[in-house]
Amino acid sequence: MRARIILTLKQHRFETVAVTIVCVGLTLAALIEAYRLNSLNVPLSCLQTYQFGYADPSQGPISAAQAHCNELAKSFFDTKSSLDMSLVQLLLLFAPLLTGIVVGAPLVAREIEQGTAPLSWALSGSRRRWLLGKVLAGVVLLAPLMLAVGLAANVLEGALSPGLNPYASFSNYLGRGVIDVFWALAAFAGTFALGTLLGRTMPAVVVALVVCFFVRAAWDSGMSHFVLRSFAVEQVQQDQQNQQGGYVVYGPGGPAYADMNLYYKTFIDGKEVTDAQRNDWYAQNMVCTPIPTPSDSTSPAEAGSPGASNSPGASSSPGAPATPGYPTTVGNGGIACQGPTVDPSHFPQQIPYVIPGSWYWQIVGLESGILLLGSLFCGAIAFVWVDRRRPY
Amino acid sequence: MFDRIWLTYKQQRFETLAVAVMCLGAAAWALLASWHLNSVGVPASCLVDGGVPYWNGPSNASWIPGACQLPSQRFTDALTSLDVGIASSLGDVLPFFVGIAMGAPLVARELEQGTAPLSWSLAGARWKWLAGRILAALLLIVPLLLIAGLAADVLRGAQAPGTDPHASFHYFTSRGVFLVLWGVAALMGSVALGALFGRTMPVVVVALIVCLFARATWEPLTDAYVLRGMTVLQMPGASSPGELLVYESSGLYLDGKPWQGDLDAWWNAHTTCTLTDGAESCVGPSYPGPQLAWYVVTGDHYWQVVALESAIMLAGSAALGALALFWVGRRRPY
Repeated sequence: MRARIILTLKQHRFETVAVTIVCVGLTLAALIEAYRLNSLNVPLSCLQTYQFGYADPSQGPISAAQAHCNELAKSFFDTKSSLDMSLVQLLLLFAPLLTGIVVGAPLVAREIEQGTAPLSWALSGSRRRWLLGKVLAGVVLLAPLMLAVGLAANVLEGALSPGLNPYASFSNYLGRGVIDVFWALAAFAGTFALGTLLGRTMPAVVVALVVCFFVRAAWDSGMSHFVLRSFAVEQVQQDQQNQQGGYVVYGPGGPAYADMNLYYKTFIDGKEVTDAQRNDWYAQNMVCTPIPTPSDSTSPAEAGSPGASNSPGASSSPGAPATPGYPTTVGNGGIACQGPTVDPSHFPQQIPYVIPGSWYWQIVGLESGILLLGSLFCGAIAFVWVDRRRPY
Repeated sequence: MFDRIWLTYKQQRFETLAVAVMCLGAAAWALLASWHLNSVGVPASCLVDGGVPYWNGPSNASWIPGACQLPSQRFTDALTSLDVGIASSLGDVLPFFVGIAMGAPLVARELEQGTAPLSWSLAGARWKWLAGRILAALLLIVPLLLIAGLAADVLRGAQAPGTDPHASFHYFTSRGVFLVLWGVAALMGSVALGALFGRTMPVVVVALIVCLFARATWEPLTDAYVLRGMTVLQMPGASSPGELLVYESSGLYLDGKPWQGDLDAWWNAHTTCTLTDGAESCVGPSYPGPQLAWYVVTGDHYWQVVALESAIMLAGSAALGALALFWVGRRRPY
């Protein structure tokens, strides 16, 4: 079997070398990018307080230490949004599927296409043994390479969101870690099954690219809707400053979510309501009046101040009484609304239902298992079909 | 020539059929997604800056009139639905799939299978043979991608109902004639790689990687080197519908004029802190402080920008085609 695996890798030397170079290069690139970010040594507190170039007056005067902190944070965000970082992230997203397709497409199809399959089958003793050797060669090549890529992607994710434990967060979890291996194996199995069915390399590549695109695009919402929904629990509101506290972790670009948000339920006084009922509630309890245009006002101060204010307790329109403690906001081009004028404890409450970040490994295990089952199913089709198909 | 074009389609019947199905399917999907969005029927009076405002309950920063709440919510649901999401992202991948699927085997397969010498001798000249094949591929993919691109424009119009997609730079390189341009560039690149390598799978692998890099770097590079001359300075806080943000100013602006000085010192001078019951609370000025401005290309320059970028892409495609024609005349037939 070892000789057959080596022979397969030699037969497909271009694909083997190309996939190895891409994966090793990508792993190194991800680690270098992570190192670049980590070497900035930006304290987490600087990222939390950075206002993207804008001062936050509520934080008080800007001290020399805060100014230095802002400089550090700015360099971090500049590195994060650089072109090379975007390219590495893009390649990390596509690498598992593309490598699986590139290795899988010619595995069976090329021998059938070139007419060498009957000889190979005769020399192997059985068609299944022949296919098993080829499949094992693909797995032996892909699994370690994609594991390296996935682990490097985890390191990069940790560097992109300091304070975020990548193994307890669902931020970008489908594009990093061990699940990369299963994406690659699923693409590989699906593609060599297509190669067995179609017996031509290019058709297998084209169909596999289309199928993989749709599966990858639909996976997230499909899983959220049909599989993970039943596991969702009410989100625990924890201290937001508490890193990895199960709720929100502050990373670059604002809060990074450790939990996977699946859906919301709205409650009024403890009773679940629909979106329409919630809207009705606001329609009944909010008072909206047109804002006078600046030309209607007697002075610029009057025109600018009331309607444009978002501050609590500000009067929103002439004649509307201010209600201290309740929001008063500007509406859609000329409507100002005020209220609700009821006790805030009776407001509609939206409760997020989530998969907590601490369930990372269970969810990764579940989704990897589903991908593995799909791979085995595709593999089984290939094994059945290779035994039955005509050798051309 | 007509026979040669017809023969190319027959030789590559799988690719021809697959490309036709993919393009027409994507166009139909985009039109269905547009219908899905349009069927929500958001009243024109609810639009803000040409778009449907997001509504998921009021907050300190958002409130929209009652008549707009449910339509806005339904529109947001439709916008984030799977079918609209996939239809929107098709424009990013379809032209590359089409270009590579048609271009990779165009030269490489005949070289790989050893039928190239016979084809060349029957055609009279190698360049004539290749020109016929390239023409066949272009005649197939250009109209198909144009249909898909126009459907993507319709979808964009449905996603932002108050915005003219032909006067807006939102996702403009993933719709309209750009689909044709990307497809032609991917086709020519794949043909050139096929002439160089003479093997189909290596062409597919290299073309996929090159296309990924080209797509990811196109916008940053055109912003940096091509569009700078067309920009106008836009003061902080101002915006125009459909504009393209090209680059940020190097200096700060305040009240519509350039501003120089120590930003931190300015904020400190305009921040008032008071101590109440041992707790300090600080309040800043009620207007934005000195900020960077953007150099933008306004939406009414849409066609100029499209024409300029189209010319660059077509020139690149022509160069790749010339490389393929040159190389196929010199290469060994295996």
